[in-house]
Amino acid sequence: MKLSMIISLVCLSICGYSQNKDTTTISDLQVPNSPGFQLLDASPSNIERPTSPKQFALTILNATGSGSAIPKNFAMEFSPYWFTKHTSDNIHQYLSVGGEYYFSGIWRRLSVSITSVYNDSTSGSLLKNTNYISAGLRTNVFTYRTKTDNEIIERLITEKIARLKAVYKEEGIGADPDDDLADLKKDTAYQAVADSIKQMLQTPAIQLDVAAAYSEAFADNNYAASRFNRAAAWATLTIAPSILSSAKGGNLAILGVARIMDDNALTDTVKNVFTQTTCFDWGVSLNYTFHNMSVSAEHLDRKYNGNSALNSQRTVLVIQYKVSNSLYVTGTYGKNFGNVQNLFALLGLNFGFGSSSIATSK
Amino acid sequence: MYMTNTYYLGNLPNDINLQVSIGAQGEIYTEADNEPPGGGSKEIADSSANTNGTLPLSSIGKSNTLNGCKIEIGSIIDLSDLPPSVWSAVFDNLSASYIFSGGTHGDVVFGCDDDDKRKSQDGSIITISKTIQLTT
Repeated sequence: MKLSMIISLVCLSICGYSQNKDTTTISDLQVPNSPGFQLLDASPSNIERPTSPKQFALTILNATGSGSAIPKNFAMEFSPYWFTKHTSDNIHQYLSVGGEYYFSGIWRRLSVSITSVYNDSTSGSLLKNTNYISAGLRTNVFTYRTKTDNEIIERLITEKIARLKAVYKEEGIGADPDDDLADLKKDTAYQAVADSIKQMLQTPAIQLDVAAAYSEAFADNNYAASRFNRAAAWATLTIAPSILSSAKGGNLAILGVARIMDDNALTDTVKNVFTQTTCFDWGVSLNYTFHNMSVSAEHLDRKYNGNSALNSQRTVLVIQYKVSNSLYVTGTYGKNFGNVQNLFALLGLNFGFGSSSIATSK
Repeated sequence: MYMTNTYYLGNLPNDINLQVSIGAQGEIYTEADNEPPGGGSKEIADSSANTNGTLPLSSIGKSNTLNGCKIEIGSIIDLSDLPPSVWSAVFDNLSASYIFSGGTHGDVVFGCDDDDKRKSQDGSIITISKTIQLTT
């Protein structure tokens, strides 16, 4: 029965069609972890992570040849809050746990990412022999948890401390902390508490994250030949109102995203003309998960400054059914970006390679 | 001239006090044990009443009964609820203060030396182990 249903769905997926190639989704517009890298679509394999002002200065000196050159193919990410000692802060403040810590503080969660990408051949939007330098910031504006969630997390943290104490009592502190880590991993009660905390921390009632990034391009790595390349700002608002979630395991989440991007792209390769375009995207999605079924509705709106003919929207309904841990059936229907041939209808299977495609209940 | 990591008690029957605070974020458990010169070990304080590894100011005994004792103070810091990207920074900027008072030495703050702290290979667990010798 299950197999025949899957075969039918695969057949239907062949009948479905999608004419528009722009597949931007809500998740593509969310606040990126490293906005400085994201702005250049860079995935640096070697990222410097200085942990003190001294290390930061040394990293900059190395990257710039003691201040005499523009950094080339370099990536750095750091959180300045951790550069200094914080004797009076505690984990409740950092995680926004407890009634008095709604605002963990923009400074506490601030992350800075800086990168430089230089290629001798053109790759995507990055032109050859041009050094692109980008810097970005990301932080959490506020995280609000319900009183009940705060009480549960506080209790779990207290239980975790009790497990640390139990392991300390049984084994003591060894010369090698890996032995202590191994002892903790063997402690099933500790693991259960640790997993519960992680799950609770992932789903605050309301959370607002923001990010911004800016990049310049240096043709032939020459400072005098610099030009604006791209700038962007992101905001992601997540609302998981537990009051609307059912006691039987249903879970509702609302996600709002906004992104503004200013792009200075090469539009005339003969005359070497760059044209600046500003694009504003915003979107909202409602997701309801109940046992093996997930239903989400998603609306995205795109506006171009000075060229309203290009403005467009995407509205889709996505239904996912989890057949097994590694097999999902996904149905998508709606209107995609663009004003012609924009029907979006797709049925397909996801074999669960890579990340799970169904939201998990709280 | 005082020896490092040694606290001078004197011979009067004063209360010797200990206070510990750990400058790190994470879930922290701290315990102080007294190891008398004759052997054995006895817990004198632990931080299970809080999550930041603090031992509030409290008496660890009379000065004339503590000569030759070693006070072993151990902390285990669990960083698993912080982003892994900050674990190294927490370790590098870790601070701890061990304040002894009540003896002829007066109020003395011992810090966390580089060889007092260690971290697991993945960086998620930090341990601090500090030993203070008590002497008259």
